[in-house]
Amino acid sequence: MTKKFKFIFNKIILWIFLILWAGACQPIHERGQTFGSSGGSDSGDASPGGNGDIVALEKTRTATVVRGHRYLDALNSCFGINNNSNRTRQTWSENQGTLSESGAANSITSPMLTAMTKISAEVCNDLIVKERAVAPVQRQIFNSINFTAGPDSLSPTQLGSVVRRIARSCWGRNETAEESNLLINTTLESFAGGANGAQETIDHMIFLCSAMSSSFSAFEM
Amino acid sequence: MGTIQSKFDFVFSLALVFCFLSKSQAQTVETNIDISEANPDQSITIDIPDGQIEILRLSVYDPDYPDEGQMFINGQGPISLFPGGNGGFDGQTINIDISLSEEQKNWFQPGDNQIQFLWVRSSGFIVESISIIGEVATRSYDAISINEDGDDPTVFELRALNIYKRLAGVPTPLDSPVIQRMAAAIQQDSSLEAAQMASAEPGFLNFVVRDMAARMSTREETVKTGLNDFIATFVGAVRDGLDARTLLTGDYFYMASPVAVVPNDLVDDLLKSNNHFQTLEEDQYDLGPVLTRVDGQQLRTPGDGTAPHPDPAGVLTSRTFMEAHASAGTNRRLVEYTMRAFACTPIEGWSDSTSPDIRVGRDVDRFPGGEGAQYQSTCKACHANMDGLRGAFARFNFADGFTKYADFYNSESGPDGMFQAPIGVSSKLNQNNDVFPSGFRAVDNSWENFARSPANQRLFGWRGTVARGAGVGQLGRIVSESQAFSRCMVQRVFEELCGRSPADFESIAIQTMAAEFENSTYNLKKLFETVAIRPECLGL
Repeated sequence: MTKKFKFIFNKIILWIFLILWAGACQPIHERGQTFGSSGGSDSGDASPGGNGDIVALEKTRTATVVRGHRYLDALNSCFGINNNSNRTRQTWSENQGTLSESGAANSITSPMLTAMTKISAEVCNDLIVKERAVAPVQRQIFNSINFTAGPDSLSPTQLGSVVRRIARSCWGRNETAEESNLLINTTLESFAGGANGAQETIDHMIFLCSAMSSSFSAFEM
Repeated sequence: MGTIQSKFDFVFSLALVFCFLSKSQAQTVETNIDISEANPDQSITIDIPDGQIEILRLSVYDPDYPDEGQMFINGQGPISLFPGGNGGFDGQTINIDISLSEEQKNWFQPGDNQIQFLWVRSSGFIVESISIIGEVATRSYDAISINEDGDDPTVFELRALNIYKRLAGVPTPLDSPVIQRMAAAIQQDSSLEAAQMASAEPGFLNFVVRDMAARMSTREETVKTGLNDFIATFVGAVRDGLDARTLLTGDYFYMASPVAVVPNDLVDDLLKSNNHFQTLEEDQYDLGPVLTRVDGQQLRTPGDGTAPHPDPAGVLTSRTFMEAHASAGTNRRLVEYTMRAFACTPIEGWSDSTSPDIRVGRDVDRFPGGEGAQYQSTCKACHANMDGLRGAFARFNFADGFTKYADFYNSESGPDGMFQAPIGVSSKLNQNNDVFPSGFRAVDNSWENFARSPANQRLFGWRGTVARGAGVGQLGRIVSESQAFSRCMVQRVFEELCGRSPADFESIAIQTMAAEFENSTYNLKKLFETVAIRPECLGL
């Protein structure tokens, strides 16, 4: 992994858990499924990483997560990507064994989250490569981003557009105001004081894209 | 940075090329052409913009003869209908692939093409749809136009997304056309129609059905199992709406059509190795368009020859199942995993110490540790039933990388030999015959079903004549016609789609779904679609 990617990756890991906590509890409690001991109903640990049994509730959808071997295709499906780079395939090959085989909601682990972030970062890079090559109006995600300019040119509106598009692509919903603020502020703060070149704009977008596409809302099935 | 930039350019160029090459070219036209003696001549015009066709796939109701009709393409023909047609398809809708010769492919032209159907004999048939499959594609995903100003999803869009994710195996953007169509159908109170849209997506076969089959194909019971002939046949049968019972009785298998660029020598790449399917998966071919049914299972014979399989039984006689369970051992594993995979019943579940032990092999000690009580209370419980059925696989062994059938080999070592004792029976069934010399000696492929105690009758729900038989095909028949098979398929589909096993309080729902499954002529695709929209899976 290049030095630049490592920097971005570490930033993403630092904030990914914030986003996970922000996003995870809402869908779990809304849908009524539970984790925790099989003797409980609404009790137990509802956080990702809980090791309790899945309790079946009558006529209630049980949350699952994307099965590990489908994760790359899941990301490609979100973003309309038809071909991954060699680096993406290598990262995928190195990390897919860490992902959940069963897709059970109580199979989420910290190494799995780390692996998903690594893979999503590479896929986001593939997406940027793809979309930089076409006119903004043809882009699914980054239609508001000028990839030839530095990040100083990025406005909250532009970033908000990217957040909205990724949310509707990978989360199946609009982002909340809280999520939007968290993501935009985190992105800007993480690179504050850095250089103002085109590569830095790409780094901002990889950060934002990876954070969202490896969050619980993206891999919940 | 310059290095990274040039790398990006290179990858981007490759991406462009691959995007161009892997463009999916498949279209399906609903036709509903009713051909009979009363309507013997019907035509339809289909627009094929580039005139390119590799596979012509017909979805046909009641294709029960290979010569009941004819097809003409732009006045040229005839092509006899239907290849592979047989009485087993009576009253069903089946996908039939027409393998076109190069000459026949040239009958098609860019633009409008007239396809004419003629009745020849029988009660007739209905061509429900025609699929024109051009270049066989790898998996691909289209970019979607995002409605940035769109509202949060409606309750109908949410349900559509949930159904899609479970049936297609991967998510898709909220604004994708298929989600919008599904939401509209759900709003019209047609969730089943929405499920059918989702099951038409490539992910249904490539991921969901594939994973279900993968778990059933080997001892490891994992979705990480690579694509193999068992999985391919299962996926193909689901795609084509075949009666699921034929998965245990049928004389067919599925492989990639010749348009897929994969190793496809019957002996080297299908019978003696998994090269064919391994490459198919590595190159990420879309299984839906690429798989084609081949009627007539084959076995390798000495000298790398081939012969029709004398005892075909669907996926039970697939190379993968044989490799997993007929390698070494005593062929008991074949029985155990047949019940485990297709009746969802591990051996402990159908053990019965009251069953007659007249077919328990001579390799089972009747006095382990000098005590007969342990045998009577524990060992016999499993062996009596399992050994009773083991004879079905008496002629099989898996060695040197392929399935061997006793009738084709001399009793000798090496790839062209198969040790037999007596002749016609794999020697593994009668090995260690000095442990209990008075035990059962297998002499043929007969079997007896002792798992018919009242408890096991309730467990399996046997139907028809199930007491005895010969060979794998007959064993497959009794298992496939049992109630346990139907319940097991429902349970496996439920687990695949709903992310958990059915709970005890859902047993009645499972029985209801099993009855519906049987009434649909054991159509697994329909089963997937109906389970996906049930409240147990989707919620209220």
